[in-house]
Amino acid sequence: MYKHTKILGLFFLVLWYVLSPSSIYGQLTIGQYEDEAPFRTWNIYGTSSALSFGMGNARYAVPAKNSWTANPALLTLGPEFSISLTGATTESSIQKYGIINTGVFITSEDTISARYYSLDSMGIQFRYRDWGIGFSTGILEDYGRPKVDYEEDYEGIPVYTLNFSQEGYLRGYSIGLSRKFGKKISLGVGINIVDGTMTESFEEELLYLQLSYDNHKNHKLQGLFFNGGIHIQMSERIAIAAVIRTPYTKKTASDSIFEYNSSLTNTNIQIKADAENTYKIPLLLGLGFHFNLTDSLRMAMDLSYFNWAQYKVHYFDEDFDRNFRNVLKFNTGLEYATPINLFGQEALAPLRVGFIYDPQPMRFPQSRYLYFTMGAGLQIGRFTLDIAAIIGRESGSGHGLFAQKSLVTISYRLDRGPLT
Amino acid sequence: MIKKYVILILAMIFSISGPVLTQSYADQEIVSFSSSDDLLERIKGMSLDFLMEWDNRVYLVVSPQELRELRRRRIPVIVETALFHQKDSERISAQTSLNGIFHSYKEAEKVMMDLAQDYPEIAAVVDIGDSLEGRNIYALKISDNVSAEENEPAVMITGCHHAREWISVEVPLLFCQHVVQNYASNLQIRQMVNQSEIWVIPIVNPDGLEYSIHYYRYWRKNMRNNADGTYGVDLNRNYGYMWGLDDEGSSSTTNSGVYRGTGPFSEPETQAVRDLFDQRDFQSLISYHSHGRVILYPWGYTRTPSTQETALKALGDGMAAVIQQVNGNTYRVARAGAGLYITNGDTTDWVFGVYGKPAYTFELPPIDRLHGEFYNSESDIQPIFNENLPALLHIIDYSIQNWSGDSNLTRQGQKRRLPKIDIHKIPIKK
Repeated sequence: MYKHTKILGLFFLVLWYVLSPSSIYGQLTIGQYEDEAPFRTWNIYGTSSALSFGMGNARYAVPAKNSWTANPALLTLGPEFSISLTGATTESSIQKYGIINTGVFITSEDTISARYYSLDSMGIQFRYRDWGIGFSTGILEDYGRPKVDYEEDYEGIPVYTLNFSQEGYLRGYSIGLSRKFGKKISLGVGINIVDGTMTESFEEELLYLQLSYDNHKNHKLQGLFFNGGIHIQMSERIAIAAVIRTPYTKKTASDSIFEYNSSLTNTNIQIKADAENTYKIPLLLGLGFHFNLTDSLRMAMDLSYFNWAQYKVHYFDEDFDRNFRNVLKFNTGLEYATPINLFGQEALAPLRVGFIYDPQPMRFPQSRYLYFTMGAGLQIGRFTLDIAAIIGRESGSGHGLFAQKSLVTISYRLDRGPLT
Repeated sequence: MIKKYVILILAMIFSISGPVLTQSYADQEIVSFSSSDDLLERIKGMSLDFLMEWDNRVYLVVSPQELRELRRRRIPVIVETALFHQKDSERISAQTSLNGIFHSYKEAEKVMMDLAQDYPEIAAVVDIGDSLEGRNIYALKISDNVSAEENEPAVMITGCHHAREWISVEVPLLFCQHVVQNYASNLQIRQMVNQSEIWVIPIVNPDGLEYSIHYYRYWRKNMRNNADGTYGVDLNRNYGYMWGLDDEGSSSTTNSGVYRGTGPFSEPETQAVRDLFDQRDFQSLISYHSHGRVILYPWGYTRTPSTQETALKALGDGMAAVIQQVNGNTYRVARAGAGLYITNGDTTDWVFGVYGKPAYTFELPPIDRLHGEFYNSESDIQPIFNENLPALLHIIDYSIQNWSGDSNLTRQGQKRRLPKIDIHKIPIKK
């Protein structure tokens, strides 16, 4: 019990760290100026783990770490008690964002790469008889961009500076509840709260004229949505699942200021605005399949329908049409797992591969990412360590953007359950 | 000396105090004149609202009637309101739009649609073309029997060729509102509207304006992807007369602020203006820009005066004079190439060079780079419009008075016909 207390203490220490996200930079937008576009991909739902990402992030029908945040019904299929922690590095090349490659600043190369590190998510889940409950928190979306710090000198004296930055994140808190009906059917529901911040800053200064032009925007985001899912064990080897995420509104309390300042003439002109912005995030529907092909080999597959055509933005008192289309995302993966003997202990060392087809919602240009994923795990006793990497390339924009993500998940279960 | 500073600070506080005060002084101006005994003698008997004395000048808060009376008494007053406005941006409560009370594309669209809806007999919105990013470029046609084809002289008023010049959207928009809202009650306006067609295009460059609001306040050009990493063509260097004559008046370098494009009228925004101008019997044009408080007339492409120099200068002087009568502000009148800098492919050279009609670039306040540059405080919008209104009425009146009455005008000696423009109500996109 003492050991468990220490582990729980460590868990909550790390939880505190996760809840204090550091600044991270990086963003992908293709041919559009949107500031609210999440890093790497628009198609984000729930948190995940290295186990799932190793299998192409196909998780609707696969009980695995935080996969219950996508399908709460999975809570009845997990261990009696477990905690997990996932860290990730994400890198992506980007082409257009803010003032970069859209008119003001031209990058010397076609694309810019950005990388960030974060403790992605944490989860805790309990199962008692036919009931399951879980809590998870994690960074769902990142709004960061590479910074610009530009300076022009004349004979060694700075005469002009331009600074641009954008930072932000959306953090989610999920509570899930699940019940098993009979031996085959599990149903689950989830309540999800999101909050976050986004700041945009632009400062330009003509030092020789003592002139400055500033533009700052601050946004505080919040929202609430529900999700639900069903898991049906069709046979010993086959399970299917269906999930739904309700449409919801991300609201922001936002302020903005344009400012002109001339020190020589003591002229200061400000244009200020306060607004409540809304981003109407559309419905998501998903289907999942899980096949135990043999005792050692299993396969998973997800289909996700994002109703992006209904995405609506109300920003500083104006409605904006992002001209999005509905998209169907496809995830699939394989896992080969066999017991091994490691230093005299029985262990499980699964190997995983996967594939993701991730079409982006913009109509012009239409683009999609194709990802290959791979991962491995090691489960010894109550501990499991999973690692995964995904590598993808985009087509359609003409820029051949790449994206990759590496994840590590550590998990611990109290009950000495079977090696699965 | 300390007393003077105290008075000055009190005056500043006075000028930026709360909304009640602001409202009660909404139509009033702060003026100053030299505190000489002679001038003080001349204001005897007037009940004036003294503000302060500073640096041998007397500052007063005056109503429009009092301002006229001061001028009638030959007091050389200077309107100083803008001096105080520049300090008082806090006075305007925060707006919900990024650009405050300045108009974005959609906001301007709504103003024009509302005017057309509320005054269907005299105002109609015409979609004259699409921008590069697919936005409609709107003109508001103001005339009696607006949907009818009438044989009348036309005047074109344009704004926002350059994205960052937000004030150049406001003056044409306010003019639209002023004319249609005063048509019934103001005889002068009614006669003008009855005898002419007034075509107002408040936003020639809608894509650039939106980029300026949302991404980079100082964006100037349109949003042309030049396919070399750079963006934008300077629309006011893209017109077809003397286009690309030299690299002084425009640039062939794509990342230049005055990049002229790949050819004359290469941009859909200038094509839209050209096509409209070509279809109507336009007698004159005003193109609003900022900044400088200058009225410029052709030529821009050369420092040599045109053969119509005297007439162009006289009309420009006439407009400057009626502006000055409003509040004492002076707009310098100059031939563009000689008075400002050489430009080629600009709007006014094209109108004058191709059609032989007077055309003016109005560089609106502020006066220079160090007093706001392309920024105007929100509280300056109305005063700037107020001072420019008489100039607009002046050129419309000129166009009516000097119209030959022949709708089959010659264009460089050739007869041309006037094709019909479809005037329709365009639903606002939600």
